[in-house]
Amino acid sequence: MLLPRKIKHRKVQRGRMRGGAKGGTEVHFGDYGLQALEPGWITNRQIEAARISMTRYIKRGGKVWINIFPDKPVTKKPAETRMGSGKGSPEYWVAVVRPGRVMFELSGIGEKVAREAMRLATHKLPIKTRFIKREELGGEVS
Amino acid sequence: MEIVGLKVEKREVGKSASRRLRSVGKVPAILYGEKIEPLPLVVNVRDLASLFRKSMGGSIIVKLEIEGEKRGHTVLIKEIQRHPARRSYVHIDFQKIAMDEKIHASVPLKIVGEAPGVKEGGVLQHVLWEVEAEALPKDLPDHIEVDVGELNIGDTIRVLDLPQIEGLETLTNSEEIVLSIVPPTVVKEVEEVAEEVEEAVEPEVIGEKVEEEEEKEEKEGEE
Repeated sequence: MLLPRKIKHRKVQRGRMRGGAKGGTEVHFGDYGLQALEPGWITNRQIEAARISMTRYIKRGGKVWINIFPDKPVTKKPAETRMGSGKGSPEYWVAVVRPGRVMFELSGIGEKVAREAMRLATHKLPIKTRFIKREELGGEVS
Repeated sequence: MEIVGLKVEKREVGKSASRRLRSVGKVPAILYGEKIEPLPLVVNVRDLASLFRKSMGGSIIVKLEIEGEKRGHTVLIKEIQRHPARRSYVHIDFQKIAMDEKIHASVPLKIVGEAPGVKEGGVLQHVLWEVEAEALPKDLPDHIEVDVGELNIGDTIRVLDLPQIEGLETLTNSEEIVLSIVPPTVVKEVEEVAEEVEEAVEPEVIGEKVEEEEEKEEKEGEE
Protein backbone atom coordinates (compact mmCIF):
# COMPACT_ATOMS: atom_id res chain seq x y z
CA MET A 1 0.00 0.00 0.00
CA LEU A 2 1.22 3.53 -0.77
CA LEU A 3 2.47 5.77 2.04
CA PRO A 4 5.31 8.29 2.41
CA ARG A 5 8.75 7.12 3.48
CA LYS A 6 9.63 10.31 5.35
CA ILE A 7 7.37 13.10 6.59
CA LYS A 8 7.88 16.55 8.10
CA HIS A 9 4.83 16.50 10.38
CA ARG A 10 2.94 13.55 11.83
CA LYS A 11 -0.38 15.38 11.85
CA VAL A 12 -1.65 18.04 9.45
CA GLN A 13 -4.78 20.19 9.24
CA ARG A 14 -7.63 19.05 7.03
CA GLY A 15 -7.67 21.96 4.57
CA ARG A 16 -10.25 22.86 1.93
CA MET A 17 -10.77 21.44 -1.55
CA ARG A 18 -11.90 24.44 -3.57
CA GLY A 19 -11.59 24.76 -7.34
CA GLY A 20 -10.21 22.40 -9.93
CA ALA A 21 -6.98 20.49 -10.32
CA LYS A 22 -3.97 22.73 -10.98
CA GLY A 23 -2.09 20.14 -13.00
CA GLY A 24 -2.20 16.52 -14.06
CA THR A 25 -5.40 17.04 -16.01
CA GLU A 26 -4.23 15.32 -19.18
CA VAL A 27 -3.26 11.76 -20.05
CA HIS A 28 0.54 11.90 -20.06
CA PHE A 29 1.94 8.39 -19.85
CA GLY A 30 -0.63 5.93 -21.18
CA ASP A 31 -3.41 5.90 -23.77
CA TYR A 32 -6.40 6.07 -21.43
CA GLY A 33 -7.07 7.79 -18.13
CA LEU A 34 -9.53 7.96 -15.27
CA GLN A 35 -10.37 11.58 -14.47
CA ALA A 36 -11.92 12.81 -11.23
CA LEU A 37 -15.09 14.91 -11.61
CA GLU A 38 -15.50 15.75 -7.93
CA PRO A 39 -13.14 16.77 -5.15
CA GLY A 40 -12.34 14.17 -2.54
CA TRP A 41 -9.89 12.32 -0.36
CA ILE A 42 -8.74 9.02 -1.88
CA THR A 43 -7.28 6.71 0.74
CA ASN A 44 -4.30 4.48 0.07
CA ARG A 45 -6.58 1.47 0.51
CA GLN A 46 -8.92 2.78 -2.21
CA ILE A 47 -5.99 3.41 -4.56
CA GLU A 48 -4.71 -0.10 -3.94
CA ALA A 49 -8.16 -1.63 -4.45
CA ALA A 50 -8.58 0.25 -7.73
CA ARG A 51 -5.12 -0.81 -8.91
CA ILE A 52 -5.77 -4.46 -8.08
CA SER A 53 -9.15 -4.46 -9.84
CA MET A 54 -7.55 -3.00 -12.96
CA THR A 55 -4.51 -5.30 -13.08
CA ARG A 56 -6.68 -8.36 -12.42
CA TYR A 57 -9.04 -7.44 -15.25
CA ILE A 58 -6.34 -6.74 -17.81
CA LYS A 59 -4.58 -9.94 -16.62
CA ARG A 60 -1.39 -9.82 -18.65
CA GLY A 61 -0.08 -7.11 -20.88
CA GLY A 62 -0.87 -3.49 -20.41
CA LYS A 63 0.62 -1.04 -17.93
CA VAL A 64 -1.03 0.86 -15.11
CA TRP A 65 0.13 4.27 -13.88
CA ILE A 66 -1.01 5.75 -10.58
CA ASN A 67 -0.72 9.52 -10.79
CA ILE A 68 -1.83 10.35 -7.26
CA PHE A 69 0.02 9.72 -4.01
CA PRO A 70 -1.51 9.58 -0.53
CA ASP A 71 0.77 12.03 1.30
CA LYS A 72 -1.75 13.51 3.76
CA PRO A 73 -2.19 11.81 7.14
CA VAL A 74 -5.72 11.61 8.55
CA THR A 75 -6.10 11.38 12.32
CA LYS A 76 -8.91 9.79 14.28
CA LYS A 77 -9.87 9.76 17.94
CA PRO A 78 -10.54 6.33 19.45
CA ALA A 79 -14.18 5.22 19.84
CA GLU A 80 -16.07 6.30 22.98
CA THR A 81 -13.53 8.96 23.91
CA ARG A 82 -14.56 12.30 25.42
CA MET A 83 -13.82 15.38 23.35
CA GLY A 84 -10.66 17.36 24.03
CA SER A 85 -7.23 16.20 25.17
CA GLY A 86 -5.60 16.89 21.84
CA LYS A 87 -5.71 15.66 18.29
CA GLY A 88 -6.19 11.95 17.61
CA SER A 89 -3.53 9.64 16.28
CA PRO A 90 -2.79 9.20 12.54
CA GLU A 91 -5.07 6.51 11.17
CA TYR A 92 -4.59 6.39 7.40
CA TRP A 93 -3.22 8.28 4.40
CA VAL A 94 -5.11 10.12 1.68
CA ALA A 95 -4.45 11.83 -1.63
CA VAL A 96 -6.29 15.13 -2.11
CA VAL A 97 -7.99 15.03 -5.51
CA ARG A 98 -9.67 17.97 -7.19
CA PRO A 99 -11.97 17.88 -10.27
CA GLY A 100 -10.06 17.28 -13.49
CA ARG A 101 -7.22 15.25 -11.98
CA VAL A 102 -6.22 12.17 -14.00
CA MET A 103 -5.74 9.57 -11.25
CA PHE A 104 -4.95 6.41 -13.20
CA GLU A 105 -3.63 5.75 -16.67
CA LEU A 106 -3.55 2.61 -18.78
CA SER A 107 -1.72 1.59 -21.93
CA GLY A 108 -0.97 -1.44 -24.04
CA ILE A 109 -4.59 -2.65 -24.17
CA GLY A 110 -7.64 -2.03 -26.33
CA GLU A 111 -10.18 0.67 -25.54
CA LYS A 112 -12.92 -1.80 -24.62
CA VAL A 113 -10.73 -3.56 -22.06
CA ALA A 114 -9.48 -0.23 -20.71
CA ARG A 115 -13.04 1.07 -20.28
CA GLU A 116 -14.11 -2.01 -18.35
CA ALA A 117 -10.96 -1.96 -16.19
CA MET A 118 -11.57 1.71 -15.35
CA ARG A 119 -15.24 1.01 -14.62
CA LEU A 120 -14.23 -1.64 -12.11
CA ALA A 121 -11.68 0.75 -10.58
CA THR A 122 -14.31 3.52 -10.31
CA HIS A 123 -16.41 1.31 -8.03
CA LYS A 124 -13.54 1.36 -5.53
CA LEU A 125 -13.39 5.16 -5.42
CA PRO A 126 -15.55 7.62 -3.43
CA ILE A 127 -15.97 10.17 -6.24
CA LYS A 128 -17.53 10.47 -9.70
CA THR A 129 -15.06 9.86 -12.51
CA ARG A 130 -14.82 9.93 -16.28
CA PHE A 131 -12.95 7.72 -18.76
CA ILE A 132 -10.75 9.79 -21.06
CA LYS A 133 -8.40 9.15 -23.95
CA ARG A 134 -5.06 10.72 -24.79
CA GLU A 135 -5.50 14.08 -26.46
CA GLU A 136 -3.71 15.60 -29.37
CA LEU A 137 -4.05 19.15 -30.61
CA GLY A 138 -7.38 20.39 -29.28
CA GLY A 139 -9.31 17.16 -29.06
CA GLU A 140 -9.23 13.47 -28.35
CA VAL A 141 -7.35 11.04 -30.55
CA SER A 142 -9.68 9.66 -33.21
CA MET B 1 1.92 20.99 -43.23
CA GLU B 2 -1.59 22.06 -44.05
CA ILE B 3 -2.59 25.72 -43.85
CA VAL B 4 -6.13 26.30 -42.61
CA GLY B 5 -8.03 29.58 -42.44
CA LEU B 6 -9.68 30.84 -39.23
CA LYS B 7 -11.88 33.88 -38.75
CA VAL B 8 -11.23 35.89 -35.59
CA GLU B 9 -12.32 39.21 -34.11
CA LYS B 10 -10.63 41.74 -31.86
CA ARG B 11 -11.83 41.76 -28.24
CA GLU B 12 -11.68 43.84 -25.10
CA VAL B 13 -9.41 42.55 -22.38
CA GLY B 14 -10.33 41.66 -18.82
CA LYS B 15 -11.58 38.83 -16.66
CA SER B 16 -15.28 39.65 -16.78
CA ALA B 17 -15.23 40.47 -20.51
CA SER B 18 -13.58 37.10 -21.20
CA ARG B 19 -16.16 35.29 -19.06
CA ARG B 20 -18.97 36.99 -20.99
CA LEU B 21 -17.42 35.81 -24.24
CA ARG B 22 -17.10 32.22 -23.01
CA SER B 23 -20.74 32.21 -21.94
CA VAL B 24 -21.84 32.93 -25.54
CA GLY B 25 -19.71 30.21 -27.14
CA LYS B 26 -16.60 32.21 -27.87
CA VAL B 27 -13.02 31.62 -26.80
CA PRO B 28 -10.58 34.42 -25.89
CA ALA B 29 -7.25 34.21 -27.68
CA ILE B 30 -4.06 36.19 -28.10
CA LEU B 31 -1.80 36.75 -31.07
CA TYR B 32 1.86 37.49 -30.44
CA GLY B 33 5.10 37.32 -32.32
CA GLU B 34 8.55 38.76 -32.76
CA LYS B 35 7.72 41.97 -34.56
CA ILE B 36 4.15 42.65 -33.48
CA GLU B 37 2.39 43.97 -30.40
CA PRO B 38 0.27 41.34 -28.63
CA LEU B 39 -3.27 41.48 -29.97
CA PRO B 40 -6.23 40.11 -27.93
CA LEU B 41 -8.64 38.19 -30.16
CA VAL B 42 -11.76 36.11 -29.91
CA VAL B 43 -12.58 32.89 -31.79
CA ASN B 44 -15.89 31.14 -32.27
CA VAL B 45 -15.79 27.78 -30.51
CA ARG B 46 -17.43 26.04 -33.49
CA ASP B 47 -14.76 27.34 -35.89
CA LEU B 48 -12.12 26.15 -33.45
CA ALA B 49 -13.63 22.67 -33.19
CA SER B 50 -13.80 22.33 -36.98
CA LEU B 51 -10.18 23.52 -37.20
CA PHE B 52 -9.06 20.76 -34.83
CA ARG B 53 -11.10 18.20 -36.76
CA LYS B 54 -9.27 19.22 -39.93
CA SER B 55 -5.92 18.87 -38.18
CA MET B 56 -6.65 15.16 -37.49
CA GLY B 57 -4.55 15.26 -34.34
CA GLY B 58 -1.47 16.68 -36.08
CA SER B 59 -0.06 20.17 -35.83
CA ILE B 60 -1.25 22.81 -38.28
CA ILE B 61 -0.44 26.28 -39.53
CA VAL B 62 -3.36 28.68 -39.30
CA LYS B 63 -4.08 31.68 -41.48
CA LEU B 64 -5.84 34.14 -39.18
CA GLU B 65 -8.32 36.48 -40.84
CA ILE B 66 -9.01 39.33 -38.43
CA GLU B 67 -12.34 41.07 -39.00
CA GLY B 68 -11.82 44.57 -40.30
CA GLU B 69 -8.22 43.97 -41.33
CA LYS B 70 -7.17 43.18 -44.86
CA ARG B 71 -3.87 41.48 -44.04
CA GLY B 72 -3.98 38.02 -42.55
CA HIS B 73 -1.48 36.49 -40.12
CA THR B 74 0.20 33.13 -40.49
CA VAL B 75 0.33 31.58 -37.04
CA LEU B 76 1.08 28.44 -35.08
CA ILE B 77 -1.18 27.31 -32.24
CA LYS B 78 1.23 27.62 -29.33
CA GLU B 79 -1.03 26.72 -26.41
CA ILE B 80 -4.56 25.53 -25.81
CA GLN B 81 -5.91 26.05 -22.30
CA ARG B 82 -8.88 23.90 -21.37
CA HIS B 83 -11.06 23.69 -18.29
CA PRO B 84 -9.68 20.86 -16.12
CA ALA B 85 -12.97 19.05 -15.66
CA ARG B 86 -15.40 20.41 -18.27
CA ARG B 87 -12.78 20.20 -21.08
CA SER B 88 -14.17 23.41 -22.65
CA TYR B 89 -11.69 25.78 -24.28
CA VAL B 90 -10.56 28.59 -21.98
CA HIS B 91 -7.88 30.38 -24.01
CA ILE B 92 -5.80 29.96 -27.16
CA ASP B 93 -2.31 31.30 -27.90
CA PHE B 94 -1.39 32.06 -31.51
CA GLN B 95 2.23 32.72 -32.39
CA LYS B 96 2.93 34.66 -35.57
CA ILE B 97 5.47 33.04 -37.85
CA ALA B 98 7.27 34.10 -41.01
CA MET B 99 7.09 31.60 -43.87
CA ASP B 100 10.74 32.24 -44.79
CA GLU B 101 12.16 31.78 -41.28
CA LYS B 102 12.85 28.53 -39.47
CA ILE B 103 10.57 27.82 -36.53
CA HIS B 104 10.71 25.53 -33.52
CA ALA B 105 7.68 23.29 -33.19
CA SER B 106 6.72 20.00 -31.64
CA VAL B 107 5.77 17.38 -34.19
CA PRO B 108 3.50 14.53 -33.02
CA LEU B 109 4.55 10.92 -33.63
CA LYS B 110 2.04 8.41 -35.00
CA ILE B 111 2.46 4.65 -34.80
CA VAL B 112 1.81 2.68 -37.98
CA GLY B 113 1.73 -1.06 -38.44
CA GLU B 114 1.39 -3.87 -35.96
CA ALA B 115 4.44 -5.17 -34.12
CA PRO B 116 5.07 -8.95 -34.15
CA GLY B 117 6.25 -8.55 -30.54
CA VAL B 118 2.78 -7.35 -29.51
CA LYS B 119 1.16 -10.36 -31.23
CA GLU B 120 3.44 -12.61 -29.17
CA GLY B 121 2.13 -11.00 -26.00
CA GLY B 122 4.52 -8.09 -25.51
CA VAL B 123 3.38 -4.63 -24.52
CA LEU B 124 4.08 -1.58 -26.65
CA GLN B 125 5.33 1.16 -24.36
CA HIS B 126 5.05 4.54 -26.01
CA VAL B 127 7.36 6.90 -24.16
CA LEU B 128 7.81 9.91 -26.43
CA TRP B 129 4.69 11.26 -28.11
CA GLU B 130 6.19 14.24 -29.92
CA VAL B 131 9.60 15.55 -30.91
CA GLU B 132 10.92 19.08 -30.93
CA ALA B 133 12.00 20.09 -34.41
CA GLU B 134 13.22 23.06 -36.38
CA ALA B 135 12.20 23.71 -39.97
CA LEU B 136 10.73 26.19 -42.38
CA PRO B 137 6.94 26.26 -41.94
CA LYS B 138 6.45 24.72 -45.40
CA ASP B 139 8.74 21.78 -44.51
CA LEU B 140 7.13 21.09 -41.14
CA PRO B 141 5.13 17.83 -41.29
CA ASP B 142 1.82 17.54 -39.44
CA HIS B 143 3.09 14.28 -37.94
CA ILE B 144 5.94 11.75 -38.24
CA GLU B 145 5.05 8.11 -38.82
CA VAL B 146 6.80 5.51 -36.69
CA ASP B 147 6.71 2.05 -38.28
CA VAL B 148 6.59 -0.73 -35.69
CA GLY B 149 6.01 -3.50 -38.24
CA GLU B 150 9.32 -5.27 -37.50
CA LEU B 151 9.62 -4.88 -33.76
CA ASN B 152 9.94 -7.93 -31.52
CA ILE B 153 9.91 -8.16 -27.73
CA GLY B 154 12.87 -6.23 -26.34
CA ASP B 155 13.26 -3.97 -29.38
CA THR B 156 13.23 -0.19 -29.05
CA ILE B 157 13.00 2.76 -31.39
CA ARG B 158 15.06 5.84 -30.56
CA VAL B 159 14.77 9.36 -31.94
CA LEU B 160 17.69 8.65 -34.31
CA ASP B 161 15.72 5.72 -35.81
CA LEU B 162 12.86 8.01 -36.89
CA PRO B 163 12.46 8.55 -40.64
CA GLN B 164 14.49 11.49 -41.93
CA ILE B 165 12.40 14.28 -43.42
CA GLU B 166 14.01 16.76 -45.78
CA GLY B 167 14.44 20.20 -44.28
CA LEU B 168 13.49 19.04 -40.79
CA GLU B 169 16.07 19.11 -38.01
CA THR B 170 15.14 17.20 -34.88
CA LEU B 171 16.16 18.97 -31.67
CA THR B 172 15.18 16.24 -29.23
CA ASN B 173 18.09 14.16 -27.92
CA SER B 174 18.74 11.46 -30.55
CA GLU B 175 19.33 8.80 -27.86
CA GLU B 176 15.89 9.28 -26.31
CA ILE B 177 13.60 6.26 -26.54
CA VAL B 178 10.42 6.76 -28.54
CA LEU B 179 8.86 3.37 -27.88
CA SER B 180 9.77 -0.13 -26.87
CA ILE B 181 8.17 -3.56 -26.81
CA VAL B 182 8.46 -4.94 -23.29
CA PRO B 183 7.63 -8.44 -22.01
CA PRO B 184 4.16 -8.71 -20.46
CA THR B 185 3.82 -8.11 -16.72
CA VAL B 186 2.47 -11.03 -14.75
CA VAL B 187 0.25 -10.29 -11.77
CA LYS B 188 1.85 -11.73 -8.63
CA GLU B 189 -0.64 -12.42 -5.85
CA VAL B 190 2.15 -13.26 -3.38
CA GLU B 191 3.38 -9.66 -3.34
CA GLU B 192 0.12 -8.41 -1.85
CA VAL B 193 0.60 -10.45 1.34
CA ALA B 194 4.05 -8.96 1.81
CA GLU B 195 2.64 -5.45 1.36
CA GLU B 196 0.05 -5.98 4.11
CA VAL B 197 2.86 -6.46 6.66
CA GLU B 198 4.45 -3.14 5.70
CA GLU B 199 1.23 -1.30 6.51
CA ALA B 200 1.86 -1.02 10.25
CA VAL B 201 5.16 0.83 9.77
CA GLU B 202 4.82 4.56 10.38
CA PRO B 203 6.99 6.90 8.28
CA GLU B 204 9.97 8.57 9.84
CA VAL B 205 9.44 12.21 10.84
CA ILE B 206 12.19 14.46 9.48
CA GLY B 207 13.92 16.42 12.27
CA GLU B 208 12.66 14.28 15.13
CA LYS B 209 15.70 12.00 15.09
CA VAL B 210 18.06 14.95 15.02
CA GLU B 211 16.35 16.51 18.06
CA GLU B 212 16.58 13.26 19.99
CA GLU B 213 20.30 13.00 19.23
CA GLU B 214 20.84 16.62 20.31
CA GLU B 215 19.06 15.96 23.63
CA LYS B 216 21.24 12.93 24.21
CA GLU B 217 24.37 14.94 23.53
CA GLU B 218 23.24 17.69 25.93
CA LYS B 219 22.62 15.15 28.68
CA GLU B 220 26.02 13.59 28.12
CA GLY B 221 27.61 17.06 28.26
CA GLU B 222 25.92 17.83 31.62
CA GLU B 223 27.20 14.60 33.11
